[in-house]
Amino acid sequence: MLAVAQSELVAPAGGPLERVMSFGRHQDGAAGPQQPGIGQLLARIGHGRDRGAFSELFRHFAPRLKGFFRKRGLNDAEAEELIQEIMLTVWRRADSYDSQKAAASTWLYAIARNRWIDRHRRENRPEIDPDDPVLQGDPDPAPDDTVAAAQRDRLVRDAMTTLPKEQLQLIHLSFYEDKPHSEIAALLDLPLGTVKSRIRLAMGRLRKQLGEEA
Amino acid sequence: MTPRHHPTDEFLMDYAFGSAREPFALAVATHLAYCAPCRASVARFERTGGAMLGDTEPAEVGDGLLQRVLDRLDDSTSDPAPASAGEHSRIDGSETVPSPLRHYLQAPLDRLPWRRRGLAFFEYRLLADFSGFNVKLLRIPSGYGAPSHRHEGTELTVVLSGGFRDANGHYVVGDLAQVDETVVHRPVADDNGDCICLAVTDGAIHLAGPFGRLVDPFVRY
Repeated sequence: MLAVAQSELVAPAGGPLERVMSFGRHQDGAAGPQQPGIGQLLARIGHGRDRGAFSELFRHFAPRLKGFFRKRGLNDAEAEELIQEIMLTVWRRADSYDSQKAAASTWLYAIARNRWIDRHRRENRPEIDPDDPVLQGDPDPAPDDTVAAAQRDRLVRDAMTTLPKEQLQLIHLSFYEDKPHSEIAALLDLPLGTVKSRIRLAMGRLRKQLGEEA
Repeated sequence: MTPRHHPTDEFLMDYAFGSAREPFALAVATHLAYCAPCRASVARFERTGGAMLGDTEPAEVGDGLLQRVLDRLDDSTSDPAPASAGEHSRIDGSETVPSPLRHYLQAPLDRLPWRRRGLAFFEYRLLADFSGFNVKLLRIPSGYGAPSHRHEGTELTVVLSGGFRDANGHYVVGDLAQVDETVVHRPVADDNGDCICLAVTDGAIHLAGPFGRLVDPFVRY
């Protein structure tokens, strides 16, 4: 049994198509309607240094992070080390979370992504500084604050369920595999042009369903 | 003014999902500083990522992990510094360089140790140790052209100053020119001042024309 588990870590069970079909089956399993949203938890952590809120966020978020990093091939110890770093970053930066600018789930995802790049891949992440005077263009539109964060996530899920299977598969693989689109194309043995056009079509659909703003 | 030339969606997606390697991420982030619509596209992919992470099948977390993290909350010595922030980036005179790129420069553009390559263009290498990529700033004097060349892989070029023209179009500050393999092109700088660009390629570059074999300044050295 151990050998099976080990090999699953190296090559996650199920082909790309099989894995993509699991999307959407695990929506908020632990979070009942009574549970405060993660945006509220972040506010209590950021402004009140509330360890109870932090623990609650941890119980919700850490198992999902672990599932995510397991899919990326980390073993238990590696995944938990990275989760510690991410949760410590969340604790220290929670006061900079601005619900006007991003959904809480997006903010948490960005921290997890950046820690992965920094700690696991040992690369820098070039990012714009929102206060950079060089920054051009219209001010970035804020997401509609009248829509609760959980509802925003639901809009994304609904939009994704309308995608044709082959487009959803590409989005899903790109998200889980830590491979740029050129390597995803090789993984699926698809021409690069096919991958590009599917992503363009998926993006068009998301743009239409989520609106021009983020 | 919103740029008219953008990276294609798959490059924005790779950037948003963190799967872009650092050199391409640098080109995309530099363009984002100029381009609100592409920032919105990246934000849309990030939002998708946030929802997918929330939907990821949970894995059991070890008993003691929460306590270990709680024990470290007040431990300021283990504070991981922001990965991409660097105080060395605050260099006088570099304010026309967008923040993502500024972190990679030792000096303002006009004081960089540019190296002359060929008759009339200059380059400054970045991320020189990053294997598989060729990353550089190019400075082409007003009215001159870079050598005609062809790449393997993809080249992303972001204009930082001035402008250039090639067979595909006209590119000005903030525009990102994306050129895929097999295209032979010869960028020519506009005549309103030096054209300075960030150019990132993930494959070898071959000079076309009779001197290609003698002088191949783009190849890694």
